[in-house]
Amino acid sequence: MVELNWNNIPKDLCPVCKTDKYLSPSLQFKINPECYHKICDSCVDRIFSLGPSPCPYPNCGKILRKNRFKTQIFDDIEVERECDVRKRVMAVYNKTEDDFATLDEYNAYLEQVEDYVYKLVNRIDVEQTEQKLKDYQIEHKHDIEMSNNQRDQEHAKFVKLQNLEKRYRTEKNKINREIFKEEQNLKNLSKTEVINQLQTASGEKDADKIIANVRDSMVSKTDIYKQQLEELEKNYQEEREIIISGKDEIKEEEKPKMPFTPFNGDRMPTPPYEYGDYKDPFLSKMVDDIQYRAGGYKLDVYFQKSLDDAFTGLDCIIEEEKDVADQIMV
Amino acid sequence: MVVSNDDLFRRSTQFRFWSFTRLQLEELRVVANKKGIEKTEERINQLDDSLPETKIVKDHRDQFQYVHLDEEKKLVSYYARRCKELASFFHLSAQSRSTAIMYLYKFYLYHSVMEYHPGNIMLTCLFLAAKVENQFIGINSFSKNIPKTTPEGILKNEYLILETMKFSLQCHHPFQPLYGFFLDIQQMLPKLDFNRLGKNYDGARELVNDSLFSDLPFLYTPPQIALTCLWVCDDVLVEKYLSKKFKVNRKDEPDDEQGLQHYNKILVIIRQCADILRKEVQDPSQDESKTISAKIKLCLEPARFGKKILKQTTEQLKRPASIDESPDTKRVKVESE
Repeated sequence: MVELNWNNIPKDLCPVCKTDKYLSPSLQFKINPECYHKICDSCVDRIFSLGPSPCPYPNCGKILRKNRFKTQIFDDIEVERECDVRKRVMAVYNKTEDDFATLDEYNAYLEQVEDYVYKLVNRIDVEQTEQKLKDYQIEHKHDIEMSNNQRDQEHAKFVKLQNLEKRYRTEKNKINREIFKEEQNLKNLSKTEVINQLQTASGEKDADKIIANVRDSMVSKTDIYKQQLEELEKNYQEEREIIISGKDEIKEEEKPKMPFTPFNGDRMPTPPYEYGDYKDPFLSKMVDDIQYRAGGYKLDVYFQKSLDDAFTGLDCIIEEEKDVADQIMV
Repeated sequence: MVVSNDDLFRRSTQFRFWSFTRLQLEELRVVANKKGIEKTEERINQLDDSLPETKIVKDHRDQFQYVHLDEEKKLVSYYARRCKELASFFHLSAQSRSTAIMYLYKFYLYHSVMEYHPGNIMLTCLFLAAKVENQFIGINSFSKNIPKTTPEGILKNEYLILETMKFSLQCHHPFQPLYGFFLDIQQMLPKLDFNRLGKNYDGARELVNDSLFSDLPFLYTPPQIALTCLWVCDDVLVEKYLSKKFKVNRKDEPDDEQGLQHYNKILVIIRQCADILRKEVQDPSQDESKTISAKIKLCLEPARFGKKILKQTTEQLKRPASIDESPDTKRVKVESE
C-alpha cells in the first residue's frame, strides 16, 4: 500500500479514510477552524460524534469538536482562515462610522482593527492580541451588544423591504398577465359574441350598436385591472416609504395597550376623566405596607377601576331606556 | 365603532335583568304577591280532610289573612337589615354584605314571602353572596354560628335562589363609583378642602349602605346612586363638580349646549333619586315584622290557623268572660293594616 504523504495530500482525497471524490462524488470535506485540516463528512461523524477528540492528522494533536466543523468555502486555506479571523474580530469591533466624532478617529479605529487581523492571521503575537481582544470585549460589552442590535434591525428592515418588493412584483405580474389574457380574449371573444348577439337579436337592432356594446364591456374589464395595478403601485410606494423611515416599528410601539377586541379598537376613545394625582390617606398608608404591595397590589389599578366604575352607567337612564325596550318587545 | 362605558353597562346582567322602571317593579311585586296568595289557597285546599282543623280552616276562610304587598316589602326589608347585622358578625366586606341584601330583594321580586320565609332565604343569600364575593365561609361554621339552623336547611334553598337570580350573580354596587367620584372630584376641584370632601365621602358611604333598603338599586345605576348620596351630603359640592365636569356656568366661555343638557339631565336624575332615598328607605320595627311573620307562618302551614281558632274557641268555651276580648283584638289587627 502506498504510504500517504501527509504534507502533500491530494485535493480530492480524504486522508483519514482514503476515499476519493472521484469514486464517491457525494463526498464532502469539512474543516475545523482550530487547525484547518480537511476531513471528509463521514469521518467527522465517525470520529467526533462521541465527543471531542484529537485531530487525526499526525503532529497536530489539537482537540476538535464536531459542532465547530464547517464546509470549506475558499479553496485556499489561508483565505478561509483570514475570513474566520476577520469575522471573529469584527464581531467584537463592530462600531460604525456614525459612532465616531471625526473621520480621523474612525480611520484610526479601522487601522487598529486591521492590525489585529493581520497579527492573528500571520500568527504574530497571537496570545497578546487575543488578550487584547478579550479585554476589549469585556470592557465594551454593552456597546457591542447595542451595535449588534442595530445591525440586526437594519438587516430586518432590509429583509422586510425585499419581501415587500417580492410581493409587489408577483402581484404586478399577476395583474399584467390578467390584462394580457383579457386583451387576447377580447380579440377572440368579441368576434363570437357579436355573432351570437347578432343571431339572437331581432332584426330591428343596429348591428353596430351590438358590436360597440360588447367591446365596451371587454374594455371596462381591462380598465378595472389597470386601476388595480395603479392602486397596487401606490400602496407599494407608501409601504416602502414607511419601512424606510422606520415608522412601522414606532407604530407598533406607540399603539396603546388595549385588550384584544374583535372589532379593532371598539373602545371609548378618551375616558371621561383625566387620570391625575390622587390623595387617599387611608389607602396610601396601606400601600406603604410591603405586605400589601408584595402580592402585586397597585394603587393605580384600583384608582383606575374606581374611576371607570364611576362613569360606567352614569348616563343610562333606566326609566327611559327600559320603557323603550318594552315597547320594542311588545 | 366606539363603545362607551355606558354601552358596556347596558350589556351587564344588572341592566338587562335587574333594572326596572317603577311600573315594571310594581307589577312584578303584584304578580309575586298574587302567586303567593294562590299558593296559600292551594295549600288550604290540599289540607287533610280527616283532621278536625281542616274543617275549621275552611269554615273560617273569610277570616284568613293574606300578606299585603306593603307588608311583604316591610318584612323583606326587616330581614335585609338582619342580614346586614349578620354580615358584620361574620366580618364580611361591604361588597359581600350588599350583594347578599340585593339577592334577598331580587328573590322577592319573583317570589312571595308566603311561599318562602325570608328568614330562611336571607341566610342562604348571605352564604351564597359570601361565596360569590370571594369571602367563602364553610357551611358548617356558618351554620354553627347561627342558632336553629342546619347546613342542609341553608343549602336547600341555594339552587332555588340561583335560579331566581337567572344565574346572574354579579352585583354592581355604588361603593366603587362613589370612590371614583371621590377621586375625580379631587382632580376637577383641586382647591377643595380635602377634609370636607373626606367627611362627605364617609357620609355618602353610609347613605349608600342605606340605599340598599329601598328600590333604588333597581331603578337607578350605581354611579347615579353614588352621586345622589354625595349630593344629599353636600349638594353645593356635587353641583359645582358637575358643572365643571360638563363645562357649564363658566364666565370666560359661553355655555356648552350639550354639556348644559347633560348637566340638567343628571341633576334631574339625582333629585328623583334623592327623593326616594329620603322617603322610601325602609327600617321596619321588630314588632311590625313579628305580626307579619306570624301571618306568614299561617300561610305556610294553614293547619296552624285551624289549630289556633280551635284553641281560641275552646278557650272561649272554658272562659266565657273572654268572649268580648277576642273579637276586639281581631278588629285591632284589621284596623292596623
